[in-house]
Amino acid sequence: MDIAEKKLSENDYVGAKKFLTKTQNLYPHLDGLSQVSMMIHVYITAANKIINGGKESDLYGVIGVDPLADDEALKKQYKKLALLLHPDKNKFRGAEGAFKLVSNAWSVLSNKTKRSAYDQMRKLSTGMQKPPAPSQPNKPPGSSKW
Amino acid sequence: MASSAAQIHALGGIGIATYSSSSKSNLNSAKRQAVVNPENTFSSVKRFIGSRMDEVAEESKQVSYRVVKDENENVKLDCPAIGKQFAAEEISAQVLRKLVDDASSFLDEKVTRAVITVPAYFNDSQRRATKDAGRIAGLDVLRIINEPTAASLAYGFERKSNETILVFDLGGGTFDVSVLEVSEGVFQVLSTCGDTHLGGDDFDKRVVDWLASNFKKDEGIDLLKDKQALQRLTEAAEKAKIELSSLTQTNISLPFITATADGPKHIETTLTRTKFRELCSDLLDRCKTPVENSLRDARLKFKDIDEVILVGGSTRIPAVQEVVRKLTGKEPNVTVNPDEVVALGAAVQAGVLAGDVSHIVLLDVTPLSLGTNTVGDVRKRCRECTTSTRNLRGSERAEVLQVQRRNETLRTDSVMSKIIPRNTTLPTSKSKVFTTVDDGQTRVRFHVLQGEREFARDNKCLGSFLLDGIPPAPRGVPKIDVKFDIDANGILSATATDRATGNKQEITITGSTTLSKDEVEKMVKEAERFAKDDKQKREAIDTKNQADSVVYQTEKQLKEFGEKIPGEVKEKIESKLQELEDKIGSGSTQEIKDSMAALNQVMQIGQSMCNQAGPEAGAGAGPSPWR
Repeated sequence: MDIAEKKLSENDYVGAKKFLTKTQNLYPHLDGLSQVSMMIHVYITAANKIINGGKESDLYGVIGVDPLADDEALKKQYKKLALLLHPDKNKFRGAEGAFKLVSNAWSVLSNKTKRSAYDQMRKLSTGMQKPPAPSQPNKPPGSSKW
Repeated sequence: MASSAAQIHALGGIGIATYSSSSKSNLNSAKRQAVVNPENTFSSVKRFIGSRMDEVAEESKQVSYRVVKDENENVKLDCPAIGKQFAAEEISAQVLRKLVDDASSFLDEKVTRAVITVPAYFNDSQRRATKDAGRIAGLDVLRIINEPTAASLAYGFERKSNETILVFDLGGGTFDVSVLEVSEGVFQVLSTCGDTHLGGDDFDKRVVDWLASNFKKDEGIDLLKDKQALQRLTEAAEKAKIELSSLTQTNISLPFITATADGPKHIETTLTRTKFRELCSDLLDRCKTPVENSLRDARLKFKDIDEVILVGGSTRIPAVQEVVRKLTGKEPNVTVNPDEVVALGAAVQAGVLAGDVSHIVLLDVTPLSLGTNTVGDVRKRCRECTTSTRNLRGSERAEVLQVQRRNETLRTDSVMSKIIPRNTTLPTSKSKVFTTVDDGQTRVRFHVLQGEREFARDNKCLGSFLLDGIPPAPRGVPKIDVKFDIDANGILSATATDRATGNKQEITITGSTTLSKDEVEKMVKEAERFAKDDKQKREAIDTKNQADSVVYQTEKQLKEFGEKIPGEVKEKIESKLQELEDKIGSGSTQEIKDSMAALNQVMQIGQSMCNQAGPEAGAGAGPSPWR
């Protein structure tokens, strides 16, 4: 798991995931496993820019809800992520970055106006183009534009 | 709730500290001291911490001590008794040290780490100054948290239900309102608003002014010019205010408030609740705006609020409670102790940070917007330099692209461009693209600003940094990414990157604007020395007191049982007794201790002889008088 953490800090999410899966198989009850796996999920989905011609990521994917989810379900999932990822609760490296991604996604999706604008954009881009392969090189989240 | 691992300690609503040459931070006698020694007794220090003189001009007139400015326009508190000027951080540190000592002796464990609370509407400089105060007091400050948020933690800690709550926190000097949503163990702050210059002290001041103006009308004397009289008036006003929370009228009696050639003058009057309300009506009105604004920012209506929680001593004022009731249409929740709830909440947060409280997380927000300076009148500028927008394509055009002067100092017409808007959940990082305003401009100075005002100079400047080496280009062509980042501990950093060259400049705001790192270091050392001095002084006083009682007991015993012990021993005791008495008068603490031990020894001999002489008499000597 240490290796997974290190890979995460080097922005190698796929590598991190590989090591995490290994860890999961070897020690399924290890402390912090869910925290790290959630971090990896957030980083991978956030770096996968499929919306608006490769400029925006799938915010629903980052939070982990269906795009048709209602406000309550969205809120519930966001709170779950906050408990898992907030750096006060999650002492692994990279927790803060993952929390920021989730929190940014939430700030768009929790605002009715912003959410409908995002939905509009999402509809347009998913209709026009096929999402690129998920294995595309992952950019560090710091350089992404929200 | 208190977690021993996290060595908790909270500073909520600290108002009073004394700092005179004879006794430092003596909280109990501070108010009495304030009357006798107004120039050397410091109160409401929280109002000055981390501030510049021009920000607290009004407050500085309302206190009994002298508030002065140093060469950098920062606030210093003058202490004529020891001829020194203190930073507000140092005085606060004394209060903290006293609290830590009390907590340590109560827990019988050394307290080294702390969670300290501040008003939610404190700016970054005030927060850092508070942190510095903690460091000067020898503490490792784990986190600075907002008082209304802390209150909500304490309130919601044991509750399971999902609620939206409004915390109305009116303390001695500041006023905060926070709206939170509590569900699934997540305490999410939705918005925060406040007034750092409104509190119980202002209510006292209204009564003081009323008393003084009546006195002036009747006697023609201005009591406000007499520091000692002013202090007595303030004390009486506060007492009257507190009494009016349970009574409908109260008497204010101040004999010998001053004297003229005709003789002494007194104040003897009655203040009714109605009159008090009338005197403070505008203050009560000022409580309304932050409540309305915080709801607007949270995008909620009054009907969405499930509970209204009152925090801070000033919410005991019936007129304040009525304002809350009228405004929110809800009966405020008074189940929490408004004085203690903040400290309890800080303890909960300390537990969370230490990992002892597992099911809770606090998502707090930045109370004030953060941004940087851009050239004023953008419209005019854009017309002049069409290049600044023409070169932008696609999504970047939609982003706010603004122009940046190369000036070193803030121009009067610079406006603030917000990068992190207020009420953004922490930690966060946000960025914006900027460009140049002049052709061939190669350097840009970014000021890190905090506040809600339109013009840059009306906001608090937390620091600035220079990005140079931008390749000369027509105005509006260079693209500079400016990223602001606040981490979980509230550390703010700003980075500017020129896209063309990859040149990067950054600043991390670590200290307050009032004290430099070196100054804080110096104060930490000084405080440690003071603490040592204090400890020695206390020990000296304790030893002396102990010696005094030993002398008294010995004399008493000699009188009672003197005949029962041989003259030789008695003489020895008497000589040792004399020796101890001399040492109490002039000797050092160690010498007093030595003489006490010597006397103790001969007395034991005397006692045992006495016991041998007659057990019935010995029983009278009873247990050894010294312990």
